[in-house]
Amino acid sequence: MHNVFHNQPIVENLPLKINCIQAYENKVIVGTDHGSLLLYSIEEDPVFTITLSESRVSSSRKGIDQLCLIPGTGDVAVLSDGAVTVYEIATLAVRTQIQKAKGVTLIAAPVAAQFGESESPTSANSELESRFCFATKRKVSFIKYNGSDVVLDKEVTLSDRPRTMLWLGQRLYIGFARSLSCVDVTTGAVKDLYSFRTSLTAALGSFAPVKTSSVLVTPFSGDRVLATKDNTTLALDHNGQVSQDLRVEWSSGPEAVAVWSPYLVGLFTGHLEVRRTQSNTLVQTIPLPNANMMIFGASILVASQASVWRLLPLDFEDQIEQLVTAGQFAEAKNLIEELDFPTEEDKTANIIRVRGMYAHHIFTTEHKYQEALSILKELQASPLDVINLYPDLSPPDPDGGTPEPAAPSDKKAMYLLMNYLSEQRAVLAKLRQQQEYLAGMKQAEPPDSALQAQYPVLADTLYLSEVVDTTLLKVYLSINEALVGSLLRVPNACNVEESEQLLLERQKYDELVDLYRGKGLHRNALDFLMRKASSPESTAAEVEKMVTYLHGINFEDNLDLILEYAAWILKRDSEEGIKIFTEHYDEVSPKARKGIVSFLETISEDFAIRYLEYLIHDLHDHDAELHDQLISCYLSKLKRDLSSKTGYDGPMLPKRSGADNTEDGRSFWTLRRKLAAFLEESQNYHAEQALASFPTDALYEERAMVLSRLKRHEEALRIYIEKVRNYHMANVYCEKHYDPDDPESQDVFLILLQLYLNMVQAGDYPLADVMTFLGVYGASMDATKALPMLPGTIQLKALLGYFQRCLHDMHRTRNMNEVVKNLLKAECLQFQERLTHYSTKRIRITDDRMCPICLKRIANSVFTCFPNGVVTHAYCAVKK
Amino acid sequence: MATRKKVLLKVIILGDSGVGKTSLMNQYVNKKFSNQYKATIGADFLTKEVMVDDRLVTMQIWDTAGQERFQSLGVAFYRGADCCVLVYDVNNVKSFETLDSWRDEFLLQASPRDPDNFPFVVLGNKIDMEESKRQVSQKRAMTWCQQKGNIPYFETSAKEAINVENAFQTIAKNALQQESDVELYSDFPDPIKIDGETGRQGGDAGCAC
Repeated sequence: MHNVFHNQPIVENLPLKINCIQAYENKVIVGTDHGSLLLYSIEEDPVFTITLSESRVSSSRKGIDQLCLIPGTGDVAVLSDGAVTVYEIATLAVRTQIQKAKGVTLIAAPVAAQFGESESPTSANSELESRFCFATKRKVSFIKYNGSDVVLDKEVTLSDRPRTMLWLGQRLYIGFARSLSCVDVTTGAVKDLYSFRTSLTAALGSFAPVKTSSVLVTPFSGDRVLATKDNTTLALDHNGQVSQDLRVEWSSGPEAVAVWSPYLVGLFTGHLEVRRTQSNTLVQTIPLPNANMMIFGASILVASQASVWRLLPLDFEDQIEQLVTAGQFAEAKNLIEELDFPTEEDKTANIIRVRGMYAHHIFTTEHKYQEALSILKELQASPLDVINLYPDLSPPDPDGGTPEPAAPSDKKAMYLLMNYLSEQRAVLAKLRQQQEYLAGMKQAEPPDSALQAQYPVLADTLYLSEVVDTTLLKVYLSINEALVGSLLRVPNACNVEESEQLLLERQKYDELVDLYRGKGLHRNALDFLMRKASSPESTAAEVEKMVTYLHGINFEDNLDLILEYAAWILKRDSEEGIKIFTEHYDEVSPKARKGIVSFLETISEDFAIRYLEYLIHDLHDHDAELHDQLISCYLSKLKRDLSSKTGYDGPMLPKRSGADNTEDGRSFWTLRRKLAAFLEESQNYHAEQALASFPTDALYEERAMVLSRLKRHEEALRIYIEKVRNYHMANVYCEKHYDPDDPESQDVFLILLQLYLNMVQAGDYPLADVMTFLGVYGASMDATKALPMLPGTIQLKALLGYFQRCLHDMHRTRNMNEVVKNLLKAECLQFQERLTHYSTKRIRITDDRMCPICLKRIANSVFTCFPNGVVTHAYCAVKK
Repeated sequence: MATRKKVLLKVIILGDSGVGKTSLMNQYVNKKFSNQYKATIGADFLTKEVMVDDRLVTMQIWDTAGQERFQSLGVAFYRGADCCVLVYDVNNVKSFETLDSWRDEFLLQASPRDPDNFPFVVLGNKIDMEESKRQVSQKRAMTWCQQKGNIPYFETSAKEAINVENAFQTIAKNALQQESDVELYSDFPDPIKIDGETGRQGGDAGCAC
């Protein structure tokens, strides 16, 4: 129950007895039982005032039975004592009297088809012209009236005496005692529409005071009318078809029925009933003492014998509000559904509003969470509305102010919210993608219109995403902590400040770092981890986390940042620190690698060496610069060792097995071995450059290696002979580098021989050893060059071994060549024989013989025949 | 559980596009392999009956489209999964690196009650390719699996049917375990609420001092 109308008395305690009333524009006409006509004017502005502007007393002093506006004239037809008189409303002056009308019982004039849009009599609806009709016994006479003259148009005879009449458009509906007919105004054809059966009560209880009421006719929406008999109101169209969806049962038989969509108003003696048209529910009862007549136009007027009231409808907004306040959401919704709104959207919006309020209501007071969320989901309510149901999770007020901490929501409700939000997350992600795509396209087809209507602008979507994700984080924190990390690791829109605070409160440090990472706030993350690692109770794990973090971010884009924190980590834990670079999986560009190397060098050569070794040995980086750099690192470290410690400096022989067993010694020799191995293995370094950085008075063996790479064999050999004095190694060197086909390396033994001979001359080397040398390696020397080098004092006898060796070797070569020559000759003969054999075979090249390779005809081209008989172009065979 | 009713296990296969999700499923269920690539649209499933610990269970294996990420298949699709199979291509490091987000997204969508113990299985597929093309070492993959709570890891080849049977047997087994756990939960209409409420009240009382 709620209030639809409130009643406003406009005329009270009239000393005359009111018989009938009529409303016209802002005027109310009252007819009394003494034949008086009273005209009241109502002014709404600035305040409601009602004044009696005109009155007229008829000479007959007979009661006025009915007032009927004649449309298009501003005149009113008055039925009094069976006679019809036409008055001008404004002055209440008599226009004319219808002479023929005698014993008239009813009058009627066309009324607007629909209530509410009161047909102004001056409107241009000239079709209706100025017509009216009156009933006399069983006859209805139609009158044309032009303001002064009255012309009888036609007369129609009925089967019974009409009790009520309603002229609607081109039809005159006539109510009889228990049936309803309709007269076509243009043709005068009469049609029976409906007949009310005798009601059960009436049939049974002959003692009951059966009202001899007649059928009331009321205009209704469309071209339908309402027919009321006793307690029942039905809707029918002009064919007598009864609408199934409408049937109102009153508490008793009303005396008049008015429509105020979506309500019906029934007048009973002393009160009004307002019912819902669709549901037949009683909405409001208005007590009006002795009220017994009701007319409807722009508003509904009700009158008793002494008073007139006006029914003022309440705004539908207010009505809905009343229902909502009373918790009658279903009623409110039904009401909205029946109401006509300017646009369909307005209606939908209103329904959504009420259903939303209903959902809110059942959620908060009835704790029907599931149901409430289903409704909101169905309404496609904004996630904000849903989240607001959980005051403890709602985003903070942007206007500041610290709201009181809300009571925690029910776990059960939280689970539902979790599901809801994860769904919304997917929806929003999709939407965002679409909108971003559109923003990129500038102009494109409209996206999924339902979605677009829901969240129209990208900025809004982003804001919603933020709220949804942040709330989801809160939900996870309270019911499923294990998902917090997942949320923060995937692309998310969580509000950083809010999340940060929440995670800190809950000591979710790993998740906090995930949050920073996801938002690209690497510095925040690293600073946080650094603080953790610096705290007294930190463990190695904290540093490890920093390293893992650095591994997770893009090296190329964040190199400076990484190096900045790497410096700190390296200082604290070098083993862990170097892992930043050596256990990193992603591909690092050459430029970045060099940057890392030079950075590590500034901290310590050891780090640079480890990183370079990792790059060169593990990643097989062939960049010459890096190779050079590794050499230079090794060298500078060795040089430092050489200068800082005694025992290593000066010319010395790098012993392969460390003579020095101290820690430093071992590392020194290990490093030298590494350098030597690298110089030998690496094909990428710049030898000249390396050579320049070698110390002049140490690391001879390594220097020799570099010289050998440059094929400066003489210098290399000089080192072995003069500095290192390791003749065996000199010989080995020559063995290794001797290459008879390389002009630069074919004379290595000769160079060594010359060096030996020089020493012999200086008396540092026994000649006998030179002879042995000649004996062993003589074959690898050009005898014509070697012999002139030998001093003339040498006895030929001493050279016997050398010559034997040379001759032997030459013979061997000659014999070998002979054998090879003969073998090749034999092979050549074999081939010739085979060729002859194949050439004797006949191959037929016809016009349609195709080459299977190029799929063209062989024709006159040169061709090849394979042993298996396939014939192709010679060109194709070669190409293949 | 005593009734030994027929069990249906829902298994979801996730991973980047082109890692061989469909091929693995086809190899396991139909013993077929095709070299031709055809992108999966939306999601598709095959079923297979399999014996797990003397128990006949039906595995419903859902193959998904790698391109789609999570937008097109609603939350409802992931709910009620008993096991999630993460597939990557050992010759494509990118497909390995995205495993993290596949796992996280799956958890977010499926919202299992106990995410830390939800059964995942990781498959490194396409090990039939030559070794030089390999980009993700077994060690690296295993380290990842270990970090994520000892996820079982298999190196497979859908093409040559290497380890496929084995992997799916483990998947079935773990899925069955999960299914039983869920059943256990569902015996109580609202287990969390009971725990949560009592725990909370106790906690509040403690905190008041």
